[in-house]
Amino acid sequence: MGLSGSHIVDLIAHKLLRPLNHSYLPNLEKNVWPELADPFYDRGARYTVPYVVWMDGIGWRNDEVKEDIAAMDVPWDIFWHAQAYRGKVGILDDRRDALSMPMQRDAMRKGTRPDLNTEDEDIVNKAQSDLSELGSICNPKVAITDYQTLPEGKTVLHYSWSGDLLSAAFYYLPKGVKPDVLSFWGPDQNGIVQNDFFAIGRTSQRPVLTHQFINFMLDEKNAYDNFVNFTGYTPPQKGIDSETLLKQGLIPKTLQEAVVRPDQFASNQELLQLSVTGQRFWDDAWSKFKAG
Amino acid sequence: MGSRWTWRLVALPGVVWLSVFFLCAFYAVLAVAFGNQDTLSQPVPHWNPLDWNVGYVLDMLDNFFSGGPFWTVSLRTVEFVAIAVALSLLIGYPVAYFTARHAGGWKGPILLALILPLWINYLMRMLAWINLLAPDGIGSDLLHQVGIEDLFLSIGLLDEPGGWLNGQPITVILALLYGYLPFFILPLFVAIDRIDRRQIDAARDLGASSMSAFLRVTLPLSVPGILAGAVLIALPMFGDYYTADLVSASTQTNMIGNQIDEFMRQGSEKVTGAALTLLLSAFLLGLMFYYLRSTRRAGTTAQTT
Repeated sequence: MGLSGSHIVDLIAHKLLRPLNHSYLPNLEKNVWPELADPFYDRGARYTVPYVVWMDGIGWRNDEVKEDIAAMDVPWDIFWHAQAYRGKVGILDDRRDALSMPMQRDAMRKGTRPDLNTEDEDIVNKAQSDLSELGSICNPKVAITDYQTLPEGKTVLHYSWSGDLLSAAFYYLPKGVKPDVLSFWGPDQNGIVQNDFFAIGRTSQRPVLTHQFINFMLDEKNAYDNFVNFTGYTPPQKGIDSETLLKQGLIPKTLQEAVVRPDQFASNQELLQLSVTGQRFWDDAWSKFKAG
Repeated sequence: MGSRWTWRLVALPGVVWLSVFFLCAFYAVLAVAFGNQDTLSQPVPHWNPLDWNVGYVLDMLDNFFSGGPFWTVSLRTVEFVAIAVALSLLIGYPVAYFTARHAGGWKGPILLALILPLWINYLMRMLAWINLLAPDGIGSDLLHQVGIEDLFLSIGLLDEPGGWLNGQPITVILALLYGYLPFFILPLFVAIDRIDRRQIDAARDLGASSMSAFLRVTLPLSVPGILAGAVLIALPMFGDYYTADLVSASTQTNMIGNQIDEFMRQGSEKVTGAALTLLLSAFLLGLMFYYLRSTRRAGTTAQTT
């Protein structure tokens, strides 16, 4: 569990996964979004079932950041205009996600669809160069602790995974701070959506029990409990959507966009496994960025 | 003769333990650095030196000598460590000197106080500093009250009031200093404590002032302690990556350890990470040779004076 699509080729190539027996998983068809019950990375859900979904976007403290980020023509531009928030800006510490951000910004400016799985060295290097500009603009922290630093006010603007904003609102707000100080924006199209999945290891000693556990986790009530009480990352369940969570008062309107919709899986992209050469371009660019 | 062999036998397990674990680990790094990657970006070590592939090491050296990112982080690392060691000397020497020479009955409690922070894990102490140095933290407030914050702001070491955790190089240097200072003071204390007082008395009898006796007797005789302390803290500082990560997380403060961590733990280029580890090891080996030469020279000087 907990492995996104960018690693599935590794797992299958190494013959590490056991094919699933769907007769033990009735909740898959009953509860899970049809869009992910037969995902492109694992046709027929032969090896995996989706666990949680999230998207890449911008998380910010709306009591500190004065710009209306969601209303900007290219919201990603906020990072290149963040001089006022110097030292309190964060970028995800993940090479694929972080380097994809300037690619999305470029594409949004031009009105094109970016290839976020590109293996074109020039495009990757351009993204690195753009991202490195942020060092002198706002000296960003490179971290994946935004679920904690945003609610605590240690960062006020962050390139974030949507689930981190929800968990920030659920569990990490200091006493007296209301969840509506947190905002999230994510693109409807041409951005990144991803999902973790459940899979069973080839050497599992109790495969039937493991199937039963997965089916248990795909039960709507259990998936909801896990989401609200433990992970903050949305399960792709038919019965769990932003409107319902809003009505229940669980999330404020400012975080409505942090709950991923099924249609966003069609219009956005998943980060997929690259070839060794392609991966090296991304690694080298990331190393250059991290060197400062 | 029998006693010599007994001690050799007693020392043998420890020597074997250290040698095997050092050599095995180091050879594994060599085999990965001079190895290859498979189609899934996993490292394929070349255990036989005849099969070694020098491509990744040459790439890394090219990156380093052409002023690429490895040069940038290496230079920054040397800068951070040099400043932290110099500050350790500046702060640590008076503490070690006072404890060894003038503490009297307080020697024990002072030594205990120096060791006390080590009862708490390094990581936990750094995590505590994150809260202390937060804009509303007690430490940040205290630094403001005593004027240190204003001083640092005026000389450009701090970007904004309360901004200690905003990716500041000075915070990383001070955190390194805080974390490793006791390891500098303790060997230095031992070195000063072992100086024969009669040598200082002899210098005074010959007309040297107390300052002159310190500069011409105590200081030269404590050089081995200074070097031992400096090496003891500089070596781990060079490989440190979590301090910068915890108190800054900015790309502007990343050290060579962060780059190695990036390649070895998070990235798919473990071969490059291993090559970078070799570069760091070669540099540290040079530093060790310098230390050994200096201590030998200091020993010879002490014997002749």
